[in-house]
Amino acid sequence: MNCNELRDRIDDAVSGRLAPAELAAVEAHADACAECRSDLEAARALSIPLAQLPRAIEPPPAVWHGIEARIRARRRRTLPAIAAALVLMAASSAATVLIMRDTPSEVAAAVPALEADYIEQAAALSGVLGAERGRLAPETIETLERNLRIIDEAIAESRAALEADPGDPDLRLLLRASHEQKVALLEQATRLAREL
Amino acid sequence: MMLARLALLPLCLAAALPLHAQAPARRLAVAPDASIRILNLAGSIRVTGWDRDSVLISGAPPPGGGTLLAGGSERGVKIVVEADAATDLRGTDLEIRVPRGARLWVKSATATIAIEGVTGEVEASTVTGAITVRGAPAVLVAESMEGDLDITAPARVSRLKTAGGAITVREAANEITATSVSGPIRLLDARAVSSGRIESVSGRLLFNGAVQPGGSLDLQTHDAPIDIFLPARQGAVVEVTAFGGKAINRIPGLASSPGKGKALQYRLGNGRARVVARSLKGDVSLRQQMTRPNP
Repeated sequence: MNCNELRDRIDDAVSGRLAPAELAAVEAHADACAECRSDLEAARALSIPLAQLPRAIEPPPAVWHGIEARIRARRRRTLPAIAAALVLMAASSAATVLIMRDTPSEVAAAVPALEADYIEQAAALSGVLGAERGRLAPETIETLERNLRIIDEAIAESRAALEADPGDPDLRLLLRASHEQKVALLEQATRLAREL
Repeated sequence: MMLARLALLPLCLAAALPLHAQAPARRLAVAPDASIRILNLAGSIRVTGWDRDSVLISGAPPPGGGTLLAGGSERGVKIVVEADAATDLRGTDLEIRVPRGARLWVKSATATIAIEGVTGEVEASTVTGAITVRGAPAVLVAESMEGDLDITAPARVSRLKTAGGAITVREAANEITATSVSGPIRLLDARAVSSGRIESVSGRLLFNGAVQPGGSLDLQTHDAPIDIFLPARQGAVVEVTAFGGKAINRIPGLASSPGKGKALQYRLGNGRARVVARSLKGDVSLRQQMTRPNP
């Protein structure tokens, strides 16, 4: 088993849906790979609270304002990154659970919730990046903004395609991939601003 | 060898020592698998693995252009160019030799990074500089915002990422992830990919090579073409989903059948590998590898 295969099975592994042999293969790989072991442990830590969550939540706008205020107040370097990582793991796990378990009509209803997690995380990272923006060169900011525009257009088009055909699993993957690209790019820019 | 190490030890254990522009190359004794961290924002960084338990540093900032600091212990060395002013664009050209098995961490802003002959774990990151890696690192992580990545290093695990830069990988093998936003990604002469994920939003993807039996390769774009060249003897099930673009099959005699969702499925040989390509707006083409393998 390799890292990608483990990641594909991580949700099933923590929720007890893997056959014993497959679970043993996951454990064996995690024993030998520190990164996957860390992912597996993090997923296990999240699995019990995740199971207790409602299937969809529409967060009120005040929630984000509160998060933003706390991030700005603390200005601590590690906590926002950890929080962002936890949100990403939760979002990824929740999205996988939704995609793998639900019927097409349930998936269609869940699309806004699926996107909301990524949108919230991108907003959190944008807030952190905004505070660090002065550390980046103007050309880097231009590159970042150009590529964010490309991703945002892709998200809009993927969302429209999925709204027209909500049951298509490939369209869900494409929409999710664009959101993940945006979060990854914002994380990369934030890291660069801090480290250089 | 031991005497030489003992003689150098005080230097290694001391706090970071400034190396001035006129200073000759400096040598620090380290373990064969020491961690080497290098930070040089502008100019160039060339790192070469060698069969000695020491780090050799050549190069220095131009006069008034900053200070080169190097120090650490036998387990780890840090080499940093501290610019006198953030706006100093002259940069420093560093040439560094490290033990072949070193764990390497290299970071720059605009400096080009070239790494060769290192077999330990390698992590290289830049904003706009290009990254070139040759050799066989155990694990390779390379990342840029706008710089190109040029990799000929079949690592056990490779994770490559850019926003606008191009990624070119020769002789890819084992597990590889390559992602970009707008930059093109080309895997040329891929030898035996066991697990691959190649993904871009608007950058063109090209895969030319082989997937291991039992292996998997996923290629995905939003609106850019995907070109797949497979060897004549490749056994694989290939699933192609092109929503707005066309699925183009140029392999003679190969017929498609319906796959999952809107996918077209092609079966090559024993079908033991799995290749999936999907694009919302781009064309996806499937071809047989040519005699001249890299178009």
